[in-house]
Formats: sequence, structure tokens, C-alpha cells
Amino acid sequence: MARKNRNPVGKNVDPEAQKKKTRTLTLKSSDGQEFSISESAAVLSIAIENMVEDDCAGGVIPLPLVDGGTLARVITYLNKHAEDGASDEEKRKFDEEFVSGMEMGVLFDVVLAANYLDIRGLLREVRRRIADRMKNKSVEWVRKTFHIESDFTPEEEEQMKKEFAWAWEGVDSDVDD
Amino acid sequence: MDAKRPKSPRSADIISGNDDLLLEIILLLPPKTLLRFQSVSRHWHSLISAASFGRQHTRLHHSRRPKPQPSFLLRNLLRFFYFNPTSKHFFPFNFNSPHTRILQSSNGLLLLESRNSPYGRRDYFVCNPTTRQARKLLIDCGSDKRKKTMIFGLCLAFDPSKSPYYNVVCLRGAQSSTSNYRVEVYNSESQTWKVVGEHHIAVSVKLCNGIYWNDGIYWIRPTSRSLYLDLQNGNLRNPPGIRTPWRKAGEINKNYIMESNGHFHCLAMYLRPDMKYLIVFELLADGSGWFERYWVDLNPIAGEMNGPVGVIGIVRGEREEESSVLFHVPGKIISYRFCDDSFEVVLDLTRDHRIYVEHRLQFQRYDAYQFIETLAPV
Repeated sequence: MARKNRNPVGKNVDPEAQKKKTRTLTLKSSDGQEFSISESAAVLSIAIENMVEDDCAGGVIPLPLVDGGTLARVITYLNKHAEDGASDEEKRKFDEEFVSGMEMGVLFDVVLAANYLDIRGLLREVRRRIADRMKNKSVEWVRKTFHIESDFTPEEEEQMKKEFAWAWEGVDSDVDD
Repeated sequence: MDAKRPKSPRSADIISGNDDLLLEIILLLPPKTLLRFQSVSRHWHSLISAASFGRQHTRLHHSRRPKPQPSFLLRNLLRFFYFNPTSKHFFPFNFNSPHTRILQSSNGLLLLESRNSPYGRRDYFVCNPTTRQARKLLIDCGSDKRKKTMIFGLCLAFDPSKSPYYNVVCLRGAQSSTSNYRVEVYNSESQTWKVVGEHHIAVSVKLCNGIYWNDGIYWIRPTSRSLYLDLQNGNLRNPPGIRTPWRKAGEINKNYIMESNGHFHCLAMYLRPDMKYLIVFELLADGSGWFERYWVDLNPIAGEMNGPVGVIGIVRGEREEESSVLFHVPGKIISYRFCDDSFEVVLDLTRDHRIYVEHRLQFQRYDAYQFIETLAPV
């Protein structure tokens, strides 16, 4: 990467942006783990940005709804997206790899964290990944994965299955991926 | 990967209990998956079958490419069948009344004429064959029976890439004069009928088999003048230059007018003992005339084409690999791909004794209706 021009000519250097890059924040997970992150990466989360503006900066930002493992993942994502010079193509590829190895439970944790921290890009990516995984799954798999108990009678279920028989064609077996 | 990490039971519970988050996820699923997932629980059923969800889903899935591959409803003398040439699924499809006729298919919704007995009163419905929802159209809403006039044509205009709502156009005799037609339009958003114009037309035939294309309805007729109804202003006119393409003397010739994925076609089939071919004409974007889009040499499957032959439909995909034409010969539906000139038997009914009769077509001309799967509410 080209070396930073330390004496830029012109007025297009925002001193506030420079400060954000060097300033670090500490995020504290629900289970008490602490993570440092540059402010410029952290504020990609709208919720954290609001907390910084409300003057929690300098101190530690507590995130009581996110556990340490999930927070570590979210921070990896934020760092990549705040990285100088990372092209859109690079970020897109990173996003795809980032979610591709996650099992359903992890995707659920991350989608909730992204929702709570208001990180739009991550939320979109994880939602899409969850939907992709669900697409060819059985009704039983959904019930098990989302902890839902059926409140239909067996007759009602049979009736729906009969009415939309074609929708039951080509369903994956229930082995968890 | 952390295989030993315990699953997050809490997260699953939170997501299941958060409708906003859950809806944003399941909105991304295709119609087929959602129809299956309606039976997860009563709560999921109510989320998925809500009209607002259907509209949101339609906006999201049909506003962008790639467009879903179409399915077909085929009819033989006794009943309808669902057929998907991609998945090759084929099974009987029943409407609520056995005395049902499809008047038109428009991008995922159907216009039906239905009677409760063979000679019963005609009722008209808009139906979504994917969700099986149907809405009865209240056409004769006037209370004065003497003022009722004859319905000459009924058309459906639905374009999910523009709106999840649809219009139904009704052409009926005007009260003022016998050769005048009144154009009334029903809008599913306002759920009301509106008179948009009155026109003098010299023809007094039923205007069925209209095709919705480019914000208007076309009636292309091989032997008389074609008609075009502009839905923006309710004007009805004879479009110049779109008589069906030429026919050659002495050849066995069949014409099919078919729309697919925004393309309007006229398929002309020529079956001579020495040469068999199909020409696909497409209407120019401004509707001013036809151009030759594809030329298909049928000689590689000439052996199949010695008896009766029909065309089930033309499928235009976003990519050329997804574009094909479906032929029907006794007992079989054969798909031809334009991109590599390949033929494939996509449906073989020769062993299905309920349907198959030797040397006969199972599905008649104009008894095949293309539709895309959608959750659009009716």
C-alpha cells in the first residue's frame, strides 16, 4: 500500500476522522471480556456511535447483550470494513467467507448482535445467509432450530401438506450443516 | 470451526419471539419454501399468509433480477395439471369448482371463469395458483337488472416488477348504443371499479385471449384486425403493423401468440414432410411490428413430429441459457434450448394410462398457461 502522505496539500483532510483512526475504545461483553477497537471501526455500529456521542468515550462501553465469542466475531467484521484501502470487492469476498463457515447457532448470535448494535451491512449479510440455509429445509428442522412447537393438529398438518404437495418436493434431509 | 460450541438456545428463542427480525429473514425465502413453512406453527402461518407480507415479498422478489423460472398449468379434457419444466414436477391441480376455465394468465395471477354446475351462472375470479387464494370479482354490482349489459371481454393486468397490485379490465356493451363498448377497470389497491372510457368498435365478437404487455392489453387475431387497449388512458385502437406474420401457401402452419418475461411472441410452425421448422417472432419494444428472434430447425426431432404437434409455451429467461420453447407431441413434452440447439424430453406420459392415449395430444392448443410463482395477494 502507498505510504501515507503526512503533509497533505488541500483541505480535504478531516481532522476528526484522523482522530477516530488513532483513538481506541474498549468494548466489554456480557461475560466480562474486554476488546480494544479503533473508534473509526467501532462507529460502523450506529448503536456504538450513539454511545460515543453520548459521551461514554474514554471509558469502557458495556455491551450486556453480546457475549465475548460473538463480540470477537463482530469486531473482526468491523475492523475489515474500517480498513483503509480495502476495495468493495475485497470486502464482499470477506463478507462471504465470514459467514460461510458459521453454523446456525452462531449465525443466530451474530444476527442478534448486528441487530442490537445496528450494523446494517452485517445484518443484511447474516440474514441472507440464514435464509439460504433454511431454503431447502423441512418444517421439522425449522421447529427444532427455532425452538417452536407445532400447535397444529396432525389432521391440519396433513391437509396443508396435501394442498401444497409440490412445496414438499426436493426438501433436504434433516442433518444439520 | 467451533463444532463443540453449544448451540445458542437463547438466541433461537429471541429470534422466534422477535417478529420484525424473523420477518426480515423469512422475507428472503422463495414462495415454495414459505408455503411449506406455513405449517411450522399457527404464528408462522399468520405471518406468511398476511396480505402485507405477500405484497412486501412480491416487491422484493420481482423488482430485481434474476426472475424466477415459470411453471405451467396444462389442461386436458378432464382436469388441470401443474407442470414445472425446471423441476419436472407434474401433478393434478384442482380449482374450487370443476367447471373452471382460465381466461388469462398474467405474470403469476390467473383470471378465471367458474360455474358451480356445467350450465350454472358464470362467476369471475382472480386467483393466485401458487398460494391458491382466489377473489371473486363483483362485476354486476348495479342493482337495476334491466341496465345490465353484456360482457364482451375481461382481462387481467398484473406486473409484479412494477406493483404488487393488479387491474382487471372489463369491456361491456354501453347502454347508449349497441355498437359501443364501455371500458371499466378494477384496481385491487382501491378495490373499486372505475369507468375509463366508451368506444365505438365495429367488431362484435368476444374479446377473450387478451395479452397484457407494455401497459396495455393486446388482442392479436390472425383473421381480423387486432386491437390494443391503452391502460394509461383507456383508449382502444387498431395497432398498425402487427397482423400475425406471413403464412406460406401449401405449408401446414400454426400460429401461437405467447408472452414470457416481458417479451411478446408469435410462434409460427411449419411442418412439411421434407422440412420442419419454427420461427419465433418478437414484437418490437414500441409494438410497431415483429422481428425474427429465433429460427428452430425441428428436423432432429422430426421422428417425434409425424403425428400431431403443439407448442406448450416459450420461456424467456434473463440469461439465454434459460430460454427455451416447449413442444408437445403425443405423450411427451420436449424442451428446446435456443443457446445450444439441444432437445430434451422434460415430461414423458407414455406410461401414464390415466392421461395417455396413443397418437393424441394430451393438452390442447391454448390450454397451457404460463405463470411465475409469487406470493402476491389477490
